[in-house]
Amino acid sequence: MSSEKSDPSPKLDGKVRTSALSSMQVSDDDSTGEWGQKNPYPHSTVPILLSRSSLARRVVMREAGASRLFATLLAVVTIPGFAASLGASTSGKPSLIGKEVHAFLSTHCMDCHDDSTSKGDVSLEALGASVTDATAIGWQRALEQIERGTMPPAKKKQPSASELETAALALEKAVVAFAQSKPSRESTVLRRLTRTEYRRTLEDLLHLDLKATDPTKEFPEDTRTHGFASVGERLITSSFLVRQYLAAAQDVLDRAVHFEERPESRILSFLPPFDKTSAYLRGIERDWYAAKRQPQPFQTLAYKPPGVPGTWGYMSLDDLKQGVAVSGIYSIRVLAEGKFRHANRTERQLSSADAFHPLSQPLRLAMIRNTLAGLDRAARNYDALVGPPPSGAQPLAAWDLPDDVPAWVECQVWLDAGQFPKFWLMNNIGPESVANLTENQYTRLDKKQLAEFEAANMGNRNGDPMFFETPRIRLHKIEVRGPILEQWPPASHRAIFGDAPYTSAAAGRVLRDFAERAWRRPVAAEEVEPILQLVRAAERNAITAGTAPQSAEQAAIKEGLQAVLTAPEFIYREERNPQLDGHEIATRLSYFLWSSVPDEKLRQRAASGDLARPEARRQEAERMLADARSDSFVADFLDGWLRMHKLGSMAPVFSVYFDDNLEPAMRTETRLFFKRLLQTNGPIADFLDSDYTFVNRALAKHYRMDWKTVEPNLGQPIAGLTSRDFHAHAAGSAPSQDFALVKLTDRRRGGLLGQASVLTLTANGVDTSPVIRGSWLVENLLGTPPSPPPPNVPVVEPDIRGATTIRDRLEKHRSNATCFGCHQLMDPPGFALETFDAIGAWRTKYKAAGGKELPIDPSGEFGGTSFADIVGFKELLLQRQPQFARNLVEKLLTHALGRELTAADRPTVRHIVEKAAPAGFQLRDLVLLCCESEALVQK
Amino acid sequence: MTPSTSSYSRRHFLRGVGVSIALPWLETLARAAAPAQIQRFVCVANPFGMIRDAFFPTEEGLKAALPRNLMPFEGLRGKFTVFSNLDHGFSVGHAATHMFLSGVRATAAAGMPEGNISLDQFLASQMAGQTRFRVLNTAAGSGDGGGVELSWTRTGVLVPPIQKVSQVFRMLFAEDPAEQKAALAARYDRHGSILDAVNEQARSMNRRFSSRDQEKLEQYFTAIREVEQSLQQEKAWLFRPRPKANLAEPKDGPVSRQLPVLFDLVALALETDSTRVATIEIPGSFDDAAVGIQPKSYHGYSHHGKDPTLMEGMRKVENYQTLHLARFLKKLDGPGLLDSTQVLFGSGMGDGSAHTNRDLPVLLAGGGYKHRTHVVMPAEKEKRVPLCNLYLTMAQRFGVETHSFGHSKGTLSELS
Repeated sequence: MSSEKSDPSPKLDGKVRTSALSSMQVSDDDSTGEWGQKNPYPHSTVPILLSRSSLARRVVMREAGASRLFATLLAVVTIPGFAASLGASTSGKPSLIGKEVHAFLSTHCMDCHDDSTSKGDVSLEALGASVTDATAIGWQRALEQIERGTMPPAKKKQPSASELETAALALEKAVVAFAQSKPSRESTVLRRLTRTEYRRTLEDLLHLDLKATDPTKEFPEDTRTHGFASVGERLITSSFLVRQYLAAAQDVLDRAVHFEERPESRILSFLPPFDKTSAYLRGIERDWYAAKRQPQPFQTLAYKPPGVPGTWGYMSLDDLKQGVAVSGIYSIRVLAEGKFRHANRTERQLSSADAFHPLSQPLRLAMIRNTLAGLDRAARNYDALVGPPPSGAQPLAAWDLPDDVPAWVECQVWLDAGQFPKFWLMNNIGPESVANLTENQYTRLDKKQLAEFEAANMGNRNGDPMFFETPRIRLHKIEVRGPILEQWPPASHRAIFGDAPYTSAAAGRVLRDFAERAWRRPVAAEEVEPILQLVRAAERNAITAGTAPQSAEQAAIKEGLQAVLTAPEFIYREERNPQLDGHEIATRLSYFLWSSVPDEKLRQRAASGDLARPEARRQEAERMLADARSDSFVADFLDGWLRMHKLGSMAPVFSVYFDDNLEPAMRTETRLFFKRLLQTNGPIADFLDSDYTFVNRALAKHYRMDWKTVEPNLGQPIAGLTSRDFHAHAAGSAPSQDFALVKLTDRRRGGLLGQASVLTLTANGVDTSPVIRGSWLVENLLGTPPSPPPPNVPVVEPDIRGATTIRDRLEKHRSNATCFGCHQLMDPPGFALETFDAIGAWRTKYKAAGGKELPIDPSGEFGGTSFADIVGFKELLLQRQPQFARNLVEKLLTHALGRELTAADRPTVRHIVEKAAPAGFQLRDLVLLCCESEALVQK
Repeated sequence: MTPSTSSYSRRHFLRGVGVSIALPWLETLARAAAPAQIQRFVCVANPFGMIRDAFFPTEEGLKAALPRNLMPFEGLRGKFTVFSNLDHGFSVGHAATHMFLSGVRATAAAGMPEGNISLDQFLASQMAGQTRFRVLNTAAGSGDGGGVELSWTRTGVLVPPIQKVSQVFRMLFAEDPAEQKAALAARYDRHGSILDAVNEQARSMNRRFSSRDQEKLEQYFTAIREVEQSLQQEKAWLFRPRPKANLAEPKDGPVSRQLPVLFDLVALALETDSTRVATIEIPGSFDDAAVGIQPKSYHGYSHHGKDPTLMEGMRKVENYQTLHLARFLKKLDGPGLLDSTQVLFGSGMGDGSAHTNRDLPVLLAGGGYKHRTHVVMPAEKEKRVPLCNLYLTMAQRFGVETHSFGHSKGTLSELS
């Protein structure tokens, strides 16, 4: 058998994380392990914690039955190094809890939780009369129970609101006083730029758009803490990442720096055939006109019937397949038309039959970038030329095409040297309808046509749609013009070198100027001395090796710039003192609201020392939120708060998810919803329930809305949003894909809980689990994360054979006392959401194997009140606005400060919540109050 | 039992795998100079586990009857062992499959002395400079639809696998053009001097720091040192010729097409001593239709919810994997390479439908162990043995002097 060795003693990293505010524990990040030396399993840490403590009196917490519930509620949750909290180095000064608290406890708690009864094996009596190192965590948990109204339980006599508030305030005061008496305040640990921040910073420093050619795409994922990638302590710098930094900096500088002559801007015109390589439909089309010695009038993009080989709907511009010679912005124009959209039907038939039918919309042309890189020429592997875009690729531009009239459509996009455009027919017409169309078309050919068809279709090359009237796009002409240069050298080059030509003598100044912006602070000349030496050495070496002096100097300064962008001053956000200086405050603001560097205005304000004033920070924050760069805040904050980054990480098995391109639509809906509230200072209650949301055609179909009620709203201006926000695609014009604000006729879809993004990211792509959705909800919306499941509890096994529902099986699970405590809190919200499937479509029945169906019961009990379904549940949720607001503030602060919050932060949070309460908790207010807060200017 | 050193004819082996390789003299010399006992390791893993009844034998011991998906292993009896009741003591579904080869969750890495380093990286860390690739991490396709997330560095970074067989082939056998080599060498030099400069920047920064920030910056110093080392090693290999394979560059394709090719390429990589440590991930993008079932996605089949049709489909997807695994083992075994190659097959998911990470499917082959077909480890809570005990055993056999790996509590003696 195995030879056992004694356990090494637990490795503790010496960090205290007792997230006192609301035990903001990451349920999916921390869990239980049987052999984990650093076991993040709270159920067992509680007894350990207390046994190690110097409690005067015994606190009994046996590991059995109903005691789990309370043990869990009082548990220490984020564990790394919990023992350190008991160490002398972080000791605080004991603080008395006061007589209001004692009065409250003896009236409402001690009947059950004194030493002799200790119901649930929890005794508050044992915590004594003051908050100490040993009892701090116990008191924090007790405070949370009182604040959230979890205790006393609903069936017992409830304290009055004022009684509860007085007690909670007094207890909080004691807990905070203790936390603040500790000699070292929890400070933000040196923050490394996250992936997004790195890209956004380079974009703003160099005036480049790097979304399409993302230099960070190979970067490792950043560690997330409570969903946020911005917590300094947890961000790792690895050798893998440093190599990526070297490569990314070089890549970006190659784009930015241009010592060469101004490239010539050219206009390239192309006539059909544009695609000279693919066989099948377009091959036949080419051969047909070649045989007739006629110029080919157009080339066709058609939807491919099933079972027929070849790629029909995608096409590259072959004559440009070596790509454009110079990177830059290009104007691309296409003369195109939609044809035979109504083949075999009348328009009336289409629109009345199904407003969501792909052919009831205009035919849509899309464009992506393509390159020959990685193409195997020898094996004639032309996939990259003619194949479909890689899965998940979003078009650069899309256009709705008019029917039967060729029209010019145009866009301006960035193309790297070597890239060329590729086009495709976007409408997902559906293989079956195309097959039917094709089938029907044979019967329409007369004898002569049939003979022509047979002749052209030599060897059964499946050219059918060339002769038949099936939906398609005809491309007549393509023009590529560029690069479009507003100035030379371009803005990116000037951002580094200024307007004067670079000479080696300027190296020191160039490095220092660039470093000041890249490192986000004033830089002394000697600070860049090692980098200047690097430049000088590179110059000498190159000249010795026979390089012309000018090229040697130019290559050398690029090497220096690369060092500036690899240096720790760039990679890390240095904060030197407990009270931050102006530049450090500016940097906090800009990374909070823009995920990027401060701009010129903010730097000026930083230099003046003005940002120490809350009003100044508020003014700047107002200005910054009005700037388009604040879209990064919307995206990054939603990724952290709602875990939006998980959307699509377990690819859904629903074909409609991909066919209708639902994932980006889902993300857009939630971002628009958030952005509107942010920009208009709307009430955060809308997150819980609302009578509106944002949809495009695909989402409206997914939500089974009546398109006729949505359509008139397309293109309507909305306060707080720009028309750009509604476009699904970066360029072109495809109103049929745009988003619109829509009034909801019933409340099932209102608020975040009706949004497909949230419903998809809380499922696993295949089926739903009330437990996962429920725990997501209580953790991310209410800030009350459940503990992870204990080990060795039998799992709830999915069973789709049709005999039982998940609710039945969970019922059994909950009858297990070990599980009941947490599940009674998180399952009911999960049940309410069961009427949405794994990608958020409405349903009333479970589908089981063999076509069986089982009804869904979405009812439950929440906070002692029962609800019938999701609508009723949201009404109960709306009663918890202060709790929701408080959680949102904690999330905002975590993101802004780059650290986890502690008990010492409670006053900050309380202040913000109280200040925002009279106006009904408006989103922009909350963000601005965070910017004003003293915590923002402290390390 | 000691792993036997192979004294087989290499030409013979190469005929066996259907490829002839002209060995450059340097390779041969390198081989001659290498230590007598070369140890190799390969891990093959999927993200969704294995249906129990088709993978775990019901009987125990060398002569245990083989269940359906192990039928291809009949000819390998005595060369492999399936373990029952081994896992990492965690159960949080998909969120824990990534710890299969490390035993440590990524989020818990900070408190471990070796982070959440996976076994392949752990073994490979002592291969630096000895072979062209310290470790070869591959996948038979994209991680869309469920990645395996198998390989992790000491610093908690997920190592992305190479997902295209054509790229694996080129790395192993395609010679870079001379100008590209020169450009790469220049790039290595340039990066080296940049690192020198930023190292100095970091040192002056460090002097300004509080101790907690210094701790953080230490990561940066370490990373720089490591990059400098690997730049030097890579530069050294740059000008050594690659072995030649008499094999056309394979075409990329769906998982079912790439998987057999990948097995062949990894066998060749071991044979030519291009690497001694490799991983093959069988990702969630597995094209289920290729095994004659209705397309529904591998992940979809894994959520069978006990539906017999879906379970049957899942077994077929799994059968394809074990079939080609057995073929790979036989390919290594022919010329006697298997005895010095520890091949681990398994998954961080125990039951893909219930999303448990308990009782993981674990099959160990080769490595010169005294294999016993099926070993049932204790199931009782207090007697359970961590899977990391097996990994520690494997690490020691590989030649690493260590007394712990992940959450190991000792070694396994079942196969000695």
